[in-house]
Amino acid sequence: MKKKPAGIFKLFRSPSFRKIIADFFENKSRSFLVITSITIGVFAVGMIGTGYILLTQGMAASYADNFPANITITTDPFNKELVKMIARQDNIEYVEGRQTILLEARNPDETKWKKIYVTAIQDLADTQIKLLTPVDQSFVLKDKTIALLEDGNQELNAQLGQPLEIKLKDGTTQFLPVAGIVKDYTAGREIIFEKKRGYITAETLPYLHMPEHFTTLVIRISGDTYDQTHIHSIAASINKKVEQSGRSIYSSEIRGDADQPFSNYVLALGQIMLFIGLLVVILSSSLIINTMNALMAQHVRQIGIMKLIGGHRTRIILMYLSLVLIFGLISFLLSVPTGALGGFLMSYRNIAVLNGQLKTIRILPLFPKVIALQAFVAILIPLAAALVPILRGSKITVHKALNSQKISNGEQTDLLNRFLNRIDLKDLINKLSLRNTFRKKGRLALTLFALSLGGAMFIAVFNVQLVLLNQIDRIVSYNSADIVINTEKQQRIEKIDALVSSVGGVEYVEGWWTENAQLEVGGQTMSVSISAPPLDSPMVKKEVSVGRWVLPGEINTLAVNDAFYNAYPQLKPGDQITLEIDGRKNAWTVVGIYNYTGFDDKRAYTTPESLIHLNNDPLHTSSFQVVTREHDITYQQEKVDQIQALSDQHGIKLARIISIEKMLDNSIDKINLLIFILLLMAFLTGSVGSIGLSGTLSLNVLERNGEIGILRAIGAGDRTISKLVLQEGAIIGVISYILGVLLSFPVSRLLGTLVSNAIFSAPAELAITFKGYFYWLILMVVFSLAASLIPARSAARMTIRDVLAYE
Amino acid sequence: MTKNNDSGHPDAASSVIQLIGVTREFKVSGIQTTALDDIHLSIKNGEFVSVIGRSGSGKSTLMNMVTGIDHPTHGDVIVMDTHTHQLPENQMAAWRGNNLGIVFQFYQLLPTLSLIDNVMLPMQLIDSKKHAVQFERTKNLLEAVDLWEKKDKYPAQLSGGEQQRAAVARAMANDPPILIADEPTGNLSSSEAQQVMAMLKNMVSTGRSVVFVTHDLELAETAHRKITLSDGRIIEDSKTIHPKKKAVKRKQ
Repeated sequence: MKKKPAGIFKLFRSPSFRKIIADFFENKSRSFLVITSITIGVFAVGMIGTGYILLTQGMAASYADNFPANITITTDPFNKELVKMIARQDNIEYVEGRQTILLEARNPDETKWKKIYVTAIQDLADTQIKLLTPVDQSFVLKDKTIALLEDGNQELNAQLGQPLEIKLKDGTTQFLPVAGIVKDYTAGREIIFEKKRGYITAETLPYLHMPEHFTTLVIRISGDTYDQTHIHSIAASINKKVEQSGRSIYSSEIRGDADQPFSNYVLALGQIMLFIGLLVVILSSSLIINTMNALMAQHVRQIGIMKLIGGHRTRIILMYLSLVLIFGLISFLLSVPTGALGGFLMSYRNIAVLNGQLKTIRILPLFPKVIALQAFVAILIPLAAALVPILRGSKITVHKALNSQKISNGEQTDLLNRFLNRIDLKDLINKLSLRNTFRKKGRLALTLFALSLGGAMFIAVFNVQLVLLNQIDRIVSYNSADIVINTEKQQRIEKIDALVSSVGGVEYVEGWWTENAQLEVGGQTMSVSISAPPLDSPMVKKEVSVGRWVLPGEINTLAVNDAFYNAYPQLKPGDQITLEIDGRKNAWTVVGIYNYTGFDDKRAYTTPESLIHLNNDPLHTSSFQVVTREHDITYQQEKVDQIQALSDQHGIKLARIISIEKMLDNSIDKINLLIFILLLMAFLTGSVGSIGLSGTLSLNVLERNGEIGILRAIGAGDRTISKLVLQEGAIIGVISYILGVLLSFPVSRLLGTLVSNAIFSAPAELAITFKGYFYWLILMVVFSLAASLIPARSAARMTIRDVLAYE
Repeated sequence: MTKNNDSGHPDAASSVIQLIGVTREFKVSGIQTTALDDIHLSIKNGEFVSVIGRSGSGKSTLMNMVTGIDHPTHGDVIVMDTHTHQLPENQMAAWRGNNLGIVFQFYQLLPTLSLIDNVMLPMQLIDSKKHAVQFERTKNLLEAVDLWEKKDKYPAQLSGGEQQRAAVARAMANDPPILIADEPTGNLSSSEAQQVMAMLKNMVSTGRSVVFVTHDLELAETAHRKITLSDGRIIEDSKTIHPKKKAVKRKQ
């Protein structure tokens, strides 16, 4: 006696299972379409999830693993005594002194000098803070050698082991051999201003004719280095100690180990990718619905026969759901490795822009959470999407199923059809194309939904790019300087004005009074930069979104930027805040709030009288704003070099000199990264839409093969048949373009708000550029053509026998 | 079994349709099936021919050979002096539009076009005449089948008989010399069937050749010539009494 097949083998041999497999292979293009639709959504989820995890993990690890400073205080020059004193305070794990000086350097084979910030590090050999990471091989940084930051060395072009020529403040030169090329994963936003940076031991300072003192304290606390409140309270007491030593605090920055300086970009990326990933899943679900509707329509007779021979509805439903499950499983298997690879490539390519490093290099990084999410999207969502078509299709009665005719004679009585019927086109093929387009309204609606949303997304990306650039312009417009100069010591305004104005191409020089203040809110101490330009200064845009600008003669009034809302969400004009400057606390009245979002940097404008009142000398300052004749980056850089050289000649030491365009250039780097990823995702959504269009046209051709046969029977050639399908594709393309344009406005607003909030902590105004509309028009033409060509070709290749042969 | 027509060989001089040694074989699930077996057939200009046979006898395959829907495995198919089985699909469509009118059992009108558009469409596909000329011809055709007043209706709004009459009008759109009808009355009531058959007879009286497939013996007898198929072979090819000859006899 034959053994009965056990379990799974019994399943494989069952007629029901064989029918499911037969249905899978019955129409290979349809199966391919469904699998592609699901795979794109699952791939997107995998790529986004994996990429986000790798980016955040990599950035967090590369930051925290190198012991970033929790507190960074810039103050007047100090020596090791202050460092030792701070080290003895409670909750201090490690403290170190550093000094950053602005010099010029060049490869000895070149002629042009380039600006470089050189940081001297106390006890570099034993340092336990802000560790530098060698790029190729480890090395020991000895005295009278220099390590260079990799990003900046691309411009310096210095060679490992070769000397770098340094121009000193006194105009003489020294040579420092390049001991190593490094990455500084704990660097703050200062690398936005200037990437050319070098590192030396403190003992090298005399070799460079610099005093061996420090101006920056970098501190790691003990205890929870992730707890902001804890860090703030320690910072407050350290600031007091520094001030008690007779020194002024110029800035005091606080960062927990989780506060990688560019983490806000990753947050923005994450939010955006999640939004778009969701969109792609929704779009691919709409394609599944379309295809399953068509499949059930094509299987009407089969369902009738199954019911006739005893199949009940539940069994039929389960059979078709099993087919969808097979589609989902195949998609899942395809998407897991490709999504992981995509995520790895995306993060590998982009993490360096955000000053991070991947934790491990694994080409197929698999994360259980991501795989679980992919499984959900690959299996449960298609099952849910297919459920309604399957339930509806399986409901058909035997009588109806077995009497379905080859060509459906649908009624033409609804409003849309009555409208279409009124359009009298002389060319009947054109008329047929137009009417065919609207025959399956549900399918058309889903196709239009996918295509137009994809288009809206694509257009929105360009609008958002403009939003971000406008936001930066707005930030910059509050100060129309081309170059900002900070001198190490207070200088006579007239002297600097005359000196800098003597440089050809400098149009205007202005001295501003500035102070760094501390703001204490809820136990946390924050830095506030206060600027006081001359009241008649043409360089400040005195526009506020709430209240008014400060008025001449006022004392202790402020126009603050909207970063203050982070500390005071209900802030309004008339409110008073307490600021501590040079150890003294005073009440200040906020008279206006302006839009100048810049990474939670709190900035304020006040009257010169307010700062002069606080011991500022009306004739001296250390901050100067320069306007040049031309405003491009090359011109500004040229003037920077000239001003630097002139300052050196006259013995004026500059703490910082920066071209605004150069600073913007470095910021735009990161925005462009965001835009690149957005474009990638937008292209993905557009592709889903295109696949949807191709699928719809293929299904339409399949369902109308009888009509194609009739057209052939009455004389239609290949060209006419192809034209019919191509025109249908073109009509759908045009309608979806129009809908996409209309949808692009709300989508641009939503995406722009999302991105601007993530980067600038504030919403932005909608901005429109014609670029996106133009590029999408071209893509739409290409997509429509590409999507229509294959169905058109397949329709034209159908022989009349295929569609009309009776026996 | 009779293989050839009554003269033994096809009359090449006035034959509009000639099948010479036509065989059509299919392979279904690995098994060879012969749907038509060495058919020799000649249909002259102006003949009214019925093709009858049981299901599976090969009558629809025979029609597919004549209309170019299918091609023979062996043999020649010559229609209006054209070896249609040698034409590529694209050229066949255009040739068919000019030379054949086809009427199907299930009417096969395009559901999204009105009657007038359905009838005018073949003219647009083949003919480059002006719209006004095409419109006039369409009007005449629809009037001839008594459907001009319903010209703006869609197929779903008409009865079976009306749809089939419209299909006949469409088949005549390009004034073809040959009309092929596959079970033209299969879905109609007897009164509607009579109307349609009357129309087909009228085509013959205007000098066309009409060939129709039917399973109805009584209907088959109304033609001038009846061809009976069985197992892919012509088992009977008998002329029925020509109506003109009948009239002459009565006079005598």
